[in-house]
Amino acid sequence: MKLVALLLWAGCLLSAIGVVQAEHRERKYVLAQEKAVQHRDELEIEWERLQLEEAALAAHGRVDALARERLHMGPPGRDAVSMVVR
Amino acid sequence: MTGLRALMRALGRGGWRYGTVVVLFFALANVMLWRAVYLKITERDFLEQQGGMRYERVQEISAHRGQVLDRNGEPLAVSTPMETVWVNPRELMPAIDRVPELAHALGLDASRLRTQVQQNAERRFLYIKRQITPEEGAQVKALRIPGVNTRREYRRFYPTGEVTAHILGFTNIDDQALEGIERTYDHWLRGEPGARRVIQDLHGGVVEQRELIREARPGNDLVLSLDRRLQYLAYRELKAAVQANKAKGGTAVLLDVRTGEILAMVNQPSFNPNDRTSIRPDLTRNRAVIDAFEPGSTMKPFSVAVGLESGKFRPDTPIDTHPGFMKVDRFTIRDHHNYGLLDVTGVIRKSSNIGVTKIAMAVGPEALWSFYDALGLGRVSGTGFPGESSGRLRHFRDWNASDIATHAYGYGMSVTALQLVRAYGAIAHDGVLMPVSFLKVEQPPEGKRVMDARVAQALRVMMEEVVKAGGTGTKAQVSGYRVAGKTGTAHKSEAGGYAEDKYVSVFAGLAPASNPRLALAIMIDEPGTGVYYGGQVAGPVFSAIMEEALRILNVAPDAMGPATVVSAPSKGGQG
Repeated sequence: MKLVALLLWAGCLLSAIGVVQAEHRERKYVLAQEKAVQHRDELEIEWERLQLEEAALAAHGRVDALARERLHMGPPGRDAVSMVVR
Repeated sequence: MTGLRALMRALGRGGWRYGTVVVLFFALANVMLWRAVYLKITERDFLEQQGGMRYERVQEISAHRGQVLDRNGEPLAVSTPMETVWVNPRELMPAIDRVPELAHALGLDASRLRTQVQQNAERRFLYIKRQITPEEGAQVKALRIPGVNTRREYRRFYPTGEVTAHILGFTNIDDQALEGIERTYDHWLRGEPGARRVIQDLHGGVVEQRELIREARPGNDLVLSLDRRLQYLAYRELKAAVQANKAKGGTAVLLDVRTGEILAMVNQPSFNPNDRTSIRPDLTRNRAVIDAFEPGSTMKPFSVAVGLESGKFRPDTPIDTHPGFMKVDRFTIRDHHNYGLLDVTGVIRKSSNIGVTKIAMAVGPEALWSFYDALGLGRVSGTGFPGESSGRLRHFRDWNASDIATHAYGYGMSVTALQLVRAYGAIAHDGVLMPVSFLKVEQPPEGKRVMDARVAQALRVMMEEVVKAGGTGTKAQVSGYRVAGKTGTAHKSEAGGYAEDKYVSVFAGLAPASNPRLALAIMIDEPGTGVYYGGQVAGPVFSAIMEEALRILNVAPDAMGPATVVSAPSKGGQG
């Protein structure tokens, strides 16, 4: 009888400690998740910015102008094109 | 009841002091027990609620609006995260001395901000500055001024600016779609913000997540049929032409005739959707689908098509247009010159009003109307674009004798540029009318046959004459490709009749004529330099856009001349 009571008491104590520990762990994870979400947001912002930057740099008009002005390129004239027929 | 027994025993022994202590302890224990029961059971809900109010907060989980992409995955509309600063004046009032710090960080006027806060001292919410960069937001947060908060908001950014402004439309500062594709596909693009209940510490950091009330659902991305490169190109050429012709406005629509996809759609004048102050109703209208105009002679290929379909006419059937004018009812129909005896091809080449009138009269109003109706004229195209116009096509029962003549050459009715290019797409697609789409089409939808394939082919041959020497649209020629098209010049109708000096110049066509891929319609509204013929005003724009579009899309030239054709090396060989 006494032994059972003792065991129950010990079990109670252990479970209480477990609860506290679980709570603590949860808070730690929440903190970590919070950080991760923040990091994700930062990356998202950067990704969007890079996309916009890429879009601006690769704009057709810009590439066209650069090709013409800096690289002295242009569409081939009618005489310079040969059609390859399969 | 050990306590009671101990008490009795103690009293029995006569130790009254001991007895008093026991009674007191017993009473105290009972009071505490009762209090515990009261707090834990009777008052539990109230207390938990009160406690929760002190450390629990419901946080919004912001959700991203979906991106709009062009057919090659290039971004056309992107939501970037921004911070919005708001204050709770009730909390800020005790720390009002710190307002200048806040004003400095945000670049605002300190005294004005102060009076603003003081005037709203009783309120709990006040926007200070909306949509600042995340860096600025972090600076504000670092000040740790009580009552100053930031909130994540998304700002819509349009990298292509005015080039795609009319199609995409725009959202307001609260991310609500107001116009264009943004509005049509709002339910698809829009994100649903979530909410969660959290426990916050003193600094507003999240310690524990109590409950996820609602999961945030980010919006979906939308892939349009537009090609950003073609869009840029069309915009550049149209803008240049509108300026050069001192025109009031203009529209160009480029269509992939095999799939019905809109590859480019541009309007002039335009606006910058990234700058809300430039948004004015007269600029934001997507003229290509909202404004209807009288198509004029660009309808002639269709009235000729009805003639060919009827079997009464062939491309070489002679039609006498002598003497260059003709009376129908009380009206006189005129050609620019007396073209004399033409064949049907000649009617198209010279754009003879009398020629098409005779054809239309021979087939009758019902056949003409039915064909126009089948081409989707006078009906909305079903893209769901907000404010799309159906144009106007009166039922043939309401036509009188002169109406059949005017409808044959595109007066007395109105179409949008989108309807016009779609109808030309049917000529290009061997007589099959395709549903038009703003979205990328993976599997070409089922079209609707509106004319015989041979009729469509015959029309293309006739329309090629238009851009050849002797036609009205020679300026629409494209080097290396065969082009079929038709010019149109219409007096603008105003209240009380047609304006003498206001015109709409149109060119619609397709290329390459031997195996069409693209249809393009150009409309220039009220050219102001005295030159107003469709072939002269809209024709060069057609040529410039079509030439580069064909090159960008890598369409094989069909008019290179035999000398430049090289046969490919045999398959076994190298290279």
